[in-house]
Amino acid sequence: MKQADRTFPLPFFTINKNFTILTFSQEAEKLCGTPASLLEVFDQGSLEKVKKWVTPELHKAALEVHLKPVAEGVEPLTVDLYVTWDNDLYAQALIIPKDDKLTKVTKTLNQLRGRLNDTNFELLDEKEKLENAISQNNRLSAPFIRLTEDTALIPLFGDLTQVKMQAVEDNLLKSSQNDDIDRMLFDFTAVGEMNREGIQVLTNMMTSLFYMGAEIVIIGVKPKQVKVLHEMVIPSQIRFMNSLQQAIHKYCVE
Amino acid sequence: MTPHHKTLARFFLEGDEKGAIEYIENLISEYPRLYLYEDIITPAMYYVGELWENNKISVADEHLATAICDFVLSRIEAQTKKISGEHQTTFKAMLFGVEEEQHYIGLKMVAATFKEHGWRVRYLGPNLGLQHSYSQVHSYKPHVIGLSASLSYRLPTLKKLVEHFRTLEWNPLIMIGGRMAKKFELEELESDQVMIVKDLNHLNQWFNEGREGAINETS
Repeated sequence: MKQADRTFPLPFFTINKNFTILTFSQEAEKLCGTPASLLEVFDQGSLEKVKKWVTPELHKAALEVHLKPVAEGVEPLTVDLYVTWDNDLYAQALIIPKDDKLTKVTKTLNQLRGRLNDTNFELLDEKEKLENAISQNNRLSAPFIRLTEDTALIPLFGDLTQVKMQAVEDNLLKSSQNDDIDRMLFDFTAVGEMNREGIQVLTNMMTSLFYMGAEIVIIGVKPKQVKVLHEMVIPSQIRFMNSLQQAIHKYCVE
Repeated sequence: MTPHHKTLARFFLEGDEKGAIEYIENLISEYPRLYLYEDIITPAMYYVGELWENNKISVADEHLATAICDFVLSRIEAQTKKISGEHQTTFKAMLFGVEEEQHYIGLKMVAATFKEHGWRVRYLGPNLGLQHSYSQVHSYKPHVIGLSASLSYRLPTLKKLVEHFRTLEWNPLIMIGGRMAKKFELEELESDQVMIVKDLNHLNQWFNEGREGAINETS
């Protein structure tokens, strides 16, 4: 039998040991409606806790639990539950909602975390854009330009890094295959810094090209670069020329 | 000797982020990362939950522990050697907690695991609105969509999301994880395109062997 006759100033229930609600206060109805069982009031994550602590074996209990959200989009309400057993069969249960401050702090923390995550996400977005731009830039740093039937010019741009050389390798190997090219002129005029790893990839690629039957000529090496090149093992089949003008004159005009 | 996870949980509950970091850093040199996530950090957080259930700590303590754990995870992740450039795979994963889901620590570890395997990862955090998740998925076009939920209330939302994602023309693999995947029978949702991931070990097995020897990544 249920009755809403109690004019107690807080949400209050009397229950039996099966959690069936026998009576409730008006405040209880305001907070939780009119459920048949006390268990219906609590959030799923709190049920085990309630079952464990609300039992006649423990004459008195005070515990913190969550109430089931009353509407969509509302977070579970944290409350303190006080239970005292009159005897083995009946108990009084009092619900006291937590101070608003906790909810407020929780909300603020969640918002802060959300904002950090958004910022993180935006940074990631930008990072990916930048990576794409760099990779595209790398791929475009060694265009394959056909000068004559059998000669192609490959001007290299910027610093010769390992990543960049790896990015252009595929395209160059393919282009040299597709077109009937016998000779490839690598122009170093626009090359900036060179590091060992980058040169390593480049010379490996040149060796591959050489094995595939192409003649390799390196043009426009600056004095500073000679030093680096000198320290590396350059395949002996590679020829060097001073300027593009010379090379064009020799291979394309004559 | 106190088990690792309980010691770690103590650091979390005391709000001692420095202690927690130091403790974890010692463990990193001894154990693989997966073990750290699955067998130390996860049990530590479960232990915090148990303490609450046993009336030993309050919700405020739990929040503090979560925040410290979150911080520690970010630190570990920042220290992980990033796989980038040539070695990064072209695979993309998008991970989020379904609408109203507030739990996110597990998902964060999943995101870190994907990153360690060289995937590009978008981790969108917990409680992502339905429409927002649709638009993100459509613009990012991930190979794997990872959904996380812990309470059974989220089941209708979860089903709605799965239904929607199954119709995407590039056939992403949909992974469902979170405590719900561990506790409830979700087999009815499982299909060629939908995989229930019980825990990080399970996820790792998928990385190594594919799905019951059948499909891996995006076959």
